[in-house]
Amino acid sequence: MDKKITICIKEEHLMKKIVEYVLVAIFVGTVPLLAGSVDTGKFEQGKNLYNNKCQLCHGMKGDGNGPAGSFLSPKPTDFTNPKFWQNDDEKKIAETIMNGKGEMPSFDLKPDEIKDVIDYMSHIFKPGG
Amino acid sequence: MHRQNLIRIILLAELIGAIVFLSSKNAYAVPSFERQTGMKCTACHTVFPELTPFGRIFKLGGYVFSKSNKPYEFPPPLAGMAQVSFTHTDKSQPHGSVKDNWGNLSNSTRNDFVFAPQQLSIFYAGQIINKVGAFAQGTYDGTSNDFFLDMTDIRYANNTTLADKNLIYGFSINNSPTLQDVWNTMPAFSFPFSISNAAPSPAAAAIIDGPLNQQVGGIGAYAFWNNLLYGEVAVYRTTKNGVTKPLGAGTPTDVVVDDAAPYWRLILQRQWDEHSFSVGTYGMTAKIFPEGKSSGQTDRFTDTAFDAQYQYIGQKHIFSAHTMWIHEDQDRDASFAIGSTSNRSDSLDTFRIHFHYDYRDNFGMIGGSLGYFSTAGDKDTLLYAPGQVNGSGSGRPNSNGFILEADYLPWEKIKLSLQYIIYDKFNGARSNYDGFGRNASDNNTLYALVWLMF
Repeated sequence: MDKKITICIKEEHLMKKIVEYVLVAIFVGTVPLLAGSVDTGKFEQGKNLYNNKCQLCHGMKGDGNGPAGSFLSPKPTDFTNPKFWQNDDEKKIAETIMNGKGEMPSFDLKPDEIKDVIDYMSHIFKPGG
Repeated sequence: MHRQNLIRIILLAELIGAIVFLSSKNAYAVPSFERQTGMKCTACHTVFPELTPFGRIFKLGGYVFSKSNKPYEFPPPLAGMAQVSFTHTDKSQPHGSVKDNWGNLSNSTRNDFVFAPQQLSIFYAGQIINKVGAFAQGTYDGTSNDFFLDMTDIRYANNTTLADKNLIYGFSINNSPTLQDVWNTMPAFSFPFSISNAAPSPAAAAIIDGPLNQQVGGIGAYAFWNNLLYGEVAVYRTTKNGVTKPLGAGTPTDVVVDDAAPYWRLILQRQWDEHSFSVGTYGMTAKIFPEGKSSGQTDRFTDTAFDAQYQYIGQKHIFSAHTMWIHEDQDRDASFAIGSTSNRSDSLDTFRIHFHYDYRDNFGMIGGSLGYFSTAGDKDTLLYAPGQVNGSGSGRPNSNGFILEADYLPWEKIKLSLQYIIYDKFNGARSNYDGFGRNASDNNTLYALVWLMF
C-alpha cells in the first residue's frame, strides 16, 4: 500500500515537472515569437511607409531610380550607395524626412513612423545592413 | 446695360485681385494636390495642365500620394478654377449664334465676346480614403450658362513588383474616354488646352475626340510596368440612364451609346535624365443611335489612334512635342436608313502636332506653342449639309490650320494666354465653305485667356 502511494506521489511529481517544463518551454518559445511579431509589425509599417511615400522617387530597390524620379534635379538619393550611410546618420535622415530637401517635400510623419521607415531602409538597402 | 457690364467687370477684377493677393501671400497656397503632397505645382506640371513624369505617376497612383500618413485628407481636398476670356473672330457671326447670358459681355458687332467668367470650376482633387482618390470637377460654363459635372476620374491604385520591376496597377471610374490617361497626346488633355466657345469650330470630330465627354461613364483597369509599358482596358455605357447616369449630371445626353463601348490603350515610354519619349496606340468602338434617337438600329464607330510625345524638362528650359492621328470608320446603316446620311459608311482622319517651349526664371514662366491640325473625311452631303457658319457647302468635313499661342505664368497658378487660330480650310473649303458666302479665314480667332487655379 505504501509502495503504491509512493509511486503515485512520484507520478504526480513527474507530471508537475512535465507541466512546468512545458509551460517554461511555451513561455521561452513564445516570448521571442511575440517579440518577433512586434518587430515584424514595425518592419511592415516601415515597408508600407517606404512604398507609399518614398519609392515613387527613390525606387523599390532604393537606388534612386523610382518611376517619378528620373527628371528631378538633383537626382533622388541612392540608398544602396555605402557613401550615403557613411554621411547620413539616422538623425540626419530623420531631419530630411521632416524638413524636406530640394524637390523632396517635408513629410508630416510621427517620430515612430520616421524611425520605422529608416529602420526598413537600413535593413533593406544599406550595404551589409 | 453698359452700367451692368461695368459693375460685373469691376466685381470680377476685385475677385481676381483678391485671389492673386491671397495666392501670393503663401507659397503653398492652394490647389489641393499641392496641399496634400507638399510639393510645388511644377513637380507635376510643366505648364498646367501638361504633366511631368512625376505628375503622370501621381495620377496613375490614384491621386493619393501625401506628405502625411493619414488615411484621408482633412480638410477635404477642394480647389477652384476661374477662366475669363476675350474672343475676336475676323468676321462677325449671325445674331443669335452666341448666347447672351450672365457670363457673356459681348458687343453688338457679334465678333467680340468677353466671357466673365468663361468657366468657373470647383474640384475635389486628392485622396478620398487610403488608396482611393479622385479628380472631380463641377463647372459653371459661362458660354452656355449651365452647371454640370465636368471631367471626373475616381480611382483605386496600388503598386507591387513584377519580374523584379515596379508595377503600378489600378482601376478608374470616369466620364470621358481618354481623361484617365496621363500622356498629353490624348484628346481629353491635349493642346490647345483651352479654346474659345464663342468662335465657330469645325463640324466633324471622331467620337473619341470629344463627342463622348460626359455622355458616357465607364470603368477601366490599368497597369504600368517598370516605367516602360502601360496598358489599359475599359468599357463605357451611356449616361442617359442606369448606374452611369450620375456621371453625366447636368449634361443633356445628345449622343446615346448602345450597350457597352470597349476602349483600349497601350503605350511604351522611355525616360532618361531630363528626357522622356513615348509612343502608343489607343482606340474605341461604339454603337451609337442616330441623332435624336435612343432605341432601334445603331451606327457603329470604330476609332484607331496612334500617338507620340517627347518632353525635355530642364531647370530653365522646357520643350515638348506631341502628335496624334485618329482614324475612324463609321458604319452608318441606321442613319442611312432614316435619310440622315448619303453614305452607308464614311471615314474620318484627324491629325494634330504641337510643339511647345517655355523658359522659367524668377519672373515666372514664359513661352509659346505652335500647332497644326487637320481633319479630313468622305464627302457626305446629308451629314455635312449647307448651313450658315457651321455648315458645309461642299458636303466635306475637311478642316485644317495652325494654332499659335503665347503663355505667361507670373505665378504657378495663373496662366495668361494669347492664342490665334488660322484656318486654311473650314468644313470642306477655303472660300464660301458654308454655301452662304463665308470663308475659312473669316473664322480666324484671336483668343485671350486669364486662367486661375486656387
